[in-house]
Amino acid sequence: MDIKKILFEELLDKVKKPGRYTGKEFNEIVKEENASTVKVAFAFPDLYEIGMSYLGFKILYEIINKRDDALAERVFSPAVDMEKLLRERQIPVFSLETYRPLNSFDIVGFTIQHELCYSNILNLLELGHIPLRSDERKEDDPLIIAGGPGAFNPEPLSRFIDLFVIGEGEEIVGEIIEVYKRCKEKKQGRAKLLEELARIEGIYVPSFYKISYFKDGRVKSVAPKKETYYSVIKKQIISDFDKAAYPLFPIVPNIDVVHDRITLEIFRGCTRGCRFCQAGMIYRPVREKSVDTLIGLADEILAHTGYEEISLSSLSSSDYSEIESLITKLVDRFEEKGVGVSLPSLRIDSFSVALAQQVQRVRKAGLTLAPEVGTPRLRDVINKNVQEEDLYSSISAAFEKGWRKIKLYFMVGLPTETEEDVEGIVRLVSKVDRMGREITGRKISINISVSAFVPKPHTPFQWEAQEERESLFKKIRYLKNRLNWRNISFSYPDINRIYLEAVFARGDRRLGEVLEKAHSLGCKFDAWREQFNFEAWEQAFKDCGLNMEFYANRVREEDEILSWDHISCGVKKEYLLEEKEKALRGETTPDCRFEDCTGCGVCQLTN
Amino acid sequence: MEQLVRIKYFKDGPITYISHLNLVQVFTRALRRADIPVVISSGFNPRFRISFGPPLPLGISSTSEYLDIRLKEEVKVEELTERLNLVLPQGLKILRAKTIPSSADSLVKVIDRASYLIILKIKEKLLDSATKNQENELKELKQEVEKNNKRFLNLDEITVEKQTKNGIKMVDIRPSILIISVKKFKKQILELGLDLKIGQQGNLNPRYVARAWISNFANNFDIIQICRDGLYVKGEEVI
Repeated sequence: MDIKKILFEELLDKVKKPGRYTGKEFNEIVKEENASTVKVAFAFPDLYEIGMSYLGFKILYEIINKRDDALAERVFSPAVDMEKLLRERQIPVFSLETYRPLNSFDIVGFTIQHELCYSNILNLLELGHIPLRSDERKEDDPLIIAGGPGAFNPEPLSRFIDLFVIGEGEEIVGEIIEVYKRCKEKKQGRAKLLEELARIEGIYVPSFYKISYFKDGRVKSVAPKKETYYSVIKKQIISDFDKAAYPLFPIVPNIDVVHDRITLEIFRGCTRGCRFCQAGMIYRPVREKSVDTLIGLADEILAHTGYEEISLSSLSSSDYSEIESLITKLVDRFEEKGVGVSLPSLRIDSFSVALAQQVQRVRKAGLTLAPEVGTPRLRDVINKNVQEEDLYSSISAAFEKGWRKIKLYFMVGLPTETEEDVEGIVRLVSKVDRMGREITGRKISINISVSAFVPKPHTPFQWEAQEERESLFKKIRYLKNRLNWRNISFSYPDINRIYLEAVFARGDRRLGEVLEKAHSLGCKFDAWREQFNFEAWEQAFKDCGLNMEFYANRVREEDEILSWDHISCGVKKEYLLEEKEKALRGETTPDCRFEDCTGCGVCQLTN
Repeated sequence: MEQLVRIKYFKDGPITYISHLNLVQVFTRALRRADIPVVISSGFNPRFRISFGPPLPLGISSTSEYLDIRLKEEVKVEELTERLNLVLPQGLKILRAKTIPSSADSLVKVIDRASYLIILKIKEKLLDSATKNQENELKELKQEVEKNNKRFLNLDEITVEKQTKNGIKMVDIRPSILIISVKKFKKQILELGLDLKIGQQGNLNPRYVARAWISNFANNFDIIQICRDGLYVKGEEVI
């Protein structure tokens, strides 16, 4: 089947945004290959414009394509209009580089960015004409691997994924290719290949572990089927972050994508220790790239891409140790070329507002701050470590420096939250509004985004229940009504989606059956409002005899075996437990970069 | 000294599936990669001072597209062409460049005529009977195509359904059509030449004309490809 011919002659004229499916962007790599080349597909379980925004794949794409013995190509979820055409004509989903069907790759690597893409992973496998279940795959089917933050609780997807990579992929990806090549040369089969790969630290082969359950559904034990398998799979981190491979030739999309700019990862990890934040735990320890490295990278990537904006990426940009020097150097260097610098994820303090002001020299941008909650008490519970004075002084600084628009992020449903805390959000916004009017002499526009708390694995709140949907909905509706002013725009999520996210975030292996069922009922693109079908999910749970509340709304006992206990991100469970207890007492924990070691245990990974 | 350069370029393949706005961005980034000193506008969101000719509809290729670039300092046009061609994505290529007076009127203001090549393929069923019944029938078919084309041009009004933001609208496309002629008819492929009025009064998508032409001929053809092969100012090529 000549997929390229059919695509260009028949399909592209019939779909929206055909530029999603053509490939051939600047810096795309189409490699020479021979029979022994290991062919890897990066499968992103969402649309082109989402997948192309994701830094992790750009890093791995370049690392693999640099090798002489391997190639990497991209595959994205087709939108529903294209999916329909592909299904009608029985055309497998294909890569953008060579229009090669997904099932003719040696390795298919998924990235799991969040729980609401699970159904898309199943759908993409099916569209790629690959058997859904790991144990149904034959010798000539691709090896299906997955990584990313979602791999830190791999169990819900374990039925479909042959192996998970826990932690940073930059180095381990090479080891996987080496083992794959060796096994292919020796003509060893799939079973042997998995045995070999399971010896690499950081690789989890779910079929090598047996999970048993108590009658009430809690996990009773997780047992390796052989003594030689690791009982705990430890996250891998790269040896030298400053010198680590970084994509110098990122693909420049021809159509609009969500993050269409140069991304400079200034540091990885965060030790601020917000207790709800999974990223803040699983990406530890903090490692920075030096200013010189970053300037060098910016120069090269700009020359190779021609982008008009450089975005500094990290979990909290103002925490970079030499942030002022970095920004000054970048702005001075690129101002004349019309290239701006942007600073997402700013902390709340006047220092950060000053930084934001500095990068505005080239391009104006909005200001986004995340007070998260409405009262100092609850802010201490979540360990946000932001004082009320800092919050107001930074906002007033922003108004004084000319911002007329501000975006504020909040979350409801956090542990210990009371009515007073919710009311606190209203009070806070009212005060910001008043300050804006007093300082600027006119109405300012406020963009409020309210989300609901989802307890995530590997965080101090992993034992907590998600608040009942009814009650979350009430809180959000209350805020929406109270803040229904002309100069405020208010956005909030679909509570059912937040609920499903909570179910899968701490799900176990039994949810594989539910995923299969939901997939057969047509569930996909759950993260997209217009596609999400909650009734189908409810049906799937009912058909499988499983209960969503059990996963989302149940408090876990401290001695309960959690379904991700055999996956280690380096942060000790005792530390998380201690943090949980401190949270409930309203005590804060400082950042170990500025004060004493908090004993989270992650530094053992580097020793 | 500022310099205004008018560029003729070629557009084909995957890159024809992007919108005009995206094309502007593709050129902006290529110019930055090539380190061409383009004048930057002031304001909240600084932009390169470049301006394009009439936009090309999605999926239509072209052998003659135009673009004006305002430069901060003088660059030899040959050098500019070479540097830019090294960094353009697949499907875009600069054919030539010329320095024009700094005060020259914009492309959209001066271009008044566009020519297209429309490639059609005869539907299988018709072809089967034609080849089976020997050369004669094919000749007859050719004559019929010519006749049909004349009939089409003689229509006073050609109304088509046009998809707009506010739903479907009926539009008369006849006033925009200058010429339509049969260029070649070989085997199952028919090539039509189409000249349209273009400019500030409108920019008709040639696909509407092709569809109307086909429907006037019992829908016996499929559109294979449409290519813009010329843009003109008062009968002359743009540069």
